[in-house]
Amino acid sequence: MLFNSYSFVFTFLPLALIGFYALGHFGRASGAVWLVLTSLVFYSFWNPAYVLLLLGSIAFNFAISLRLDTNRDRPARQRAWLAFGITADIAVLVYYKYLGALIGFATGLGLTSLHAPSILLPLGISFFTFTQIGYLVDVQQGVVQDRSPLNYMLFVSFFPHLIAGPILHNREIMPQFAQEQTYRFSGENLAIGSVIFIIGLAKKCLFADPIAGLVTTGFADTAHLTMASAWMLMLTYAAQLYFDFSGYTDMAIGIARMFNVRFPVNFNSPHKATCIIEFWQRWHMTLTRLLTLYLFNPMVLAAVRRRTARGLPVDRKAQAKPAAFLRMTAMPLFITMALAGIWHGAGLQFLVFGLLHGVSLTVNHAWRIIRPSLRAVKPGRLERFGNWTLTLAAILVALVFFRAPGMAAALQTVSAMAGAHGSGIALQGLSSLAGPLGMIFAQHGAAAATTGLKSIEAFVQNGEVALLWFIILAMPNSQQIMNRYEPVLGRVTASRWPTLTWRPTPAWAMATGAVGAFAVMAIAGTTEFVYFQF
Amino acid sequence: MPENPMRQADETRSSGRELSFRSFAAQAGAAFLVTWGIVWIYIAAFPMAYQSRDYPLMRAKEQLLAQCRPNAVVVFGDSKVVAGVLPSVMNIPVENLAFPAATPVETYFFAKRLLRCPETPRLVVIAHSASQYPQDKFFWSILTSAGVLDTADIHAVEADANTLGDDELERAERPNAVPLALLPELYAIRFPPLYFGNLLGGYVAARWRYNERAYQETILSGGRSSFGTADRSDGVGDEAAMTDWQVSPLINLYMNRTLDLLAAHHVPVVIITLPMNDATCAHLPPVIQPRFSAYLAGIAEAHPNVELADPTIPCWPDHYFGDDMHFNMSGALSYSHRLQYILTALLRENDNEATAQPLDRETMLAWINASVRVPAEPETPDD
Repeated sequence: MLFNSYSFVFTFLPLALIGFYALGHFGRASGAVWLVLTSLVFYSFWNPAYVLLLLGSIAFNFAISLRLDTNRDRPARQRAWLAFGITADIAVLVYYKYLGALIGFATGLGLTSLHAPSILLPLGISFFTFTQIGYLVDVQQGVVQDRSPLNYMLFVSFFPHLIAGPILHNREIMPQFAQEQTYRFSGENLAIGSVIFIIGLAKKCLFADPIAGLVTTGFADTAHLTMASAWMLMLTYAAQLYFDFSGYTDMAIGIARMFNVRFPVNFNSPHKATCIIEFWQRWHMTLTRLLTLYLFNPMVLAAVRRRTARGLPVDRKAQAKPAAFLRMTAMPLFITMALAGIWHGAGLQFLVFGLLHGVSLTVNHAWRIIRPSLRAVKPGRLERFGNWTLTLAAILVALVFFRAPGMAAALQTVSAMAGAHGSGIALQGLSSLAGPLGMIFAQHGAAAATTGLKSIEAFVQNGEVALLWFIILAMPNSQQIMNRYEPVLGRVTASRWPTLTWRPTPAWAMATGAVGAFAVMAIAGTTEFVYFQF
Repeated sequence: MPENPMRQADETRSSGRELSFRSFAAQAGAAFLVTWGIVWIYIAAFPMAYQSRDYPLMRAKEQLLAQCRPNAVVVFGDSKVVAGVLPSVMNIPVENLAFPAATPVETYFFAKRLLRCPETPRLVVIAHSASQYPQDKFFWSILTSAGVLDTADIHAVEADANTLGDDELERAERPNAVPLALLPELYAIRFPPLYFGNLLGGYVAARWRYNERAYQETILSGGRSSFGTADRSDGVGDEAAMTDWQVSPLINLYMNRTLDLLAAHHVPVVIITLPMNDATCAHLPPVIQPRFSAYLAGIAEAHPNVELADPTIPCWPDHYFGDDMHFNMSGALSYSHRLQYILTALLRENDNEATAQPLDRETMLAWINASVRVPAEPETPDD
């Protein structure tokens, strides 16, 4: 069931809320059980059989966590249980997500004659697997306070985050489930949650979906992209992906808030970033946190320990030396980003996507270490613009591999971006005045009655993409709009536009109602979330 | 929530009256309903302002149908016919009542409406592409949305599909967020979510001028309308994407039903197939052509009022095509002249079977299809 479906908005969600508050009246346990049951029902709408997989995964990981507890005094055994738990989790993930692709790849190389099995990918498996691996690591390290099985089950299965995140950390969520007041009705949270949900729905249905067709059309014919049209295509896709995924996250945050639960921030205007390190601190922040906590930091720590054991320096000056930089920064970064890429999918292109970000991050880190003097001087406006442009260019090039239907199409697009297929800026009538996108999408379909309409549509489509980028770059994000009511866990920077800070005034009521009506109407033409495939 | 939200002491607090959350919800709900109502009224009242081009085409076809032009040859089919048959350059009365994405299902309802005219047509031409027979893919998203079928028609088709056990209407492209069972009624009342995509795509009112122009041009040309307008297209059309060819039970039923209906009114029918571009022909899987031809031949054999003009799908040079599927104006002119030649011969044959020169159809078609590869125009019947 999609958040952006009538059955969810008008049936499932109201029933879930009514049941939650009605049962919550009788105590915490009944409200929590209701939430678990509704979450399982929510998951079963996609494929009832895979509810067993979800329940099995929860039961297995909780059992492992108990073994970790009982072996607290025997570290070697505890580490063995942890390794077993993580290996089993990864094995299940590999089976469902990567086995077909791996066999296909091996068959292609002539290493086997096996046929790749057709396995249906369980929805959200990457999300609930990594959430639980994080939990096991935390239990082993003794940082988990709440060991209640009901709260654990709720933590993993709570439906707002089950399918596509944000990826929760037990420390921030399980205490909320343990509190009695979470299960009491709050009109304020219901209203605030509804507003955040409407913002997310509008992002998805009014901003992301209308330009999805342009992206599909562009990637269907990458051989004919010119330089300008390829860059426009990638700008369009970047806008679509941002509004799609951050819209989904907003909806998840809004729904959780309706149930009196606050989620962590997951997007903080990532395209305003002026370097790639900052981008990853603003984009899919809960994934970045997970990768940093459980992958990058342990690798860096191990490298530091190895150097220390060998009597080598590990201070800042030492890090500036190539060998130390390679071991303590570049290698962990490349491995982390390669795995981050593969986390998104089994294709070679996802690996390239991750590695490209690995390259960008390594260069960024190297620049910071090698040129520390520059950090002392606040960059000027022109320099900031240059940094932003370079960052965006790196993001767009990497995104090609994220979106293209295959490596060949991705390479065609990148070569078009490099100018191998011509600039595409020559003016050819009104269509060209509308911009390169107009030329690519001049054959946007039978909807265009005449050449004139095509030109106008192309013109407006370019304007539409420009408007979306204006919203991305200049307007406050969802957290900033709702800042007054602490929409997420974590600090939110204040917006430069105080008038766009939400308050329960008549003007905001009208705006909320009107945007809600438009977004609900747009649901009928909506598509699946891009991140559902992960 | 672990703690009550802390309010920020921002400067905006003092500006504007703050409501209780209950009042806020009431006012937001009212704004929701008012917005919904306004959009609904707009959608129902001004479809020409935002609908895609299918809507003015539908209006134009309705207008042509309502004119009940006497003694006309009527052409039914899909978008290939819409783009390829230009009645205004033909010197016999022809009406192009084809509609984008139409299959024999929709053609049946067009034919039904046509036969309400006081005079039956002299001849009906049916020309659906091979790709229109396996499934009525756009039954909801184009044909119902544009108003080709009314609620009673839709229910009739659904009932037939159920009887046949054919689930193609469920598989057809449609707004998945709306329950299938409610779609006919919701389309009938112009339920806003079903048209909101068009409203956005049409930038609320940006299509008005162009839809009016498309409507007028379609009327003036006798039903023809452009799709691709490029000088040539070597794009590969839908036919080449098929891996196998078979008619769906529902479409087969309506094909036969249409021919029976026309036979009951003593209307002769000729079945033709519009050409594909060379690029599509080059990629056409070998299995498609023989199966498609065999089906049409079987249909013609089963219905005495039906002639099959050409069992093969002709291949024409790419420069006659404005996109991968449709003729450009040059292609439409060229094809219409040739179609006129065939139709005139057929009409002569039908009108006076005893004295007319028998039509050597095979030779004629071979000449027509061969002649498109040389620049010279064919002789017109008047020549």
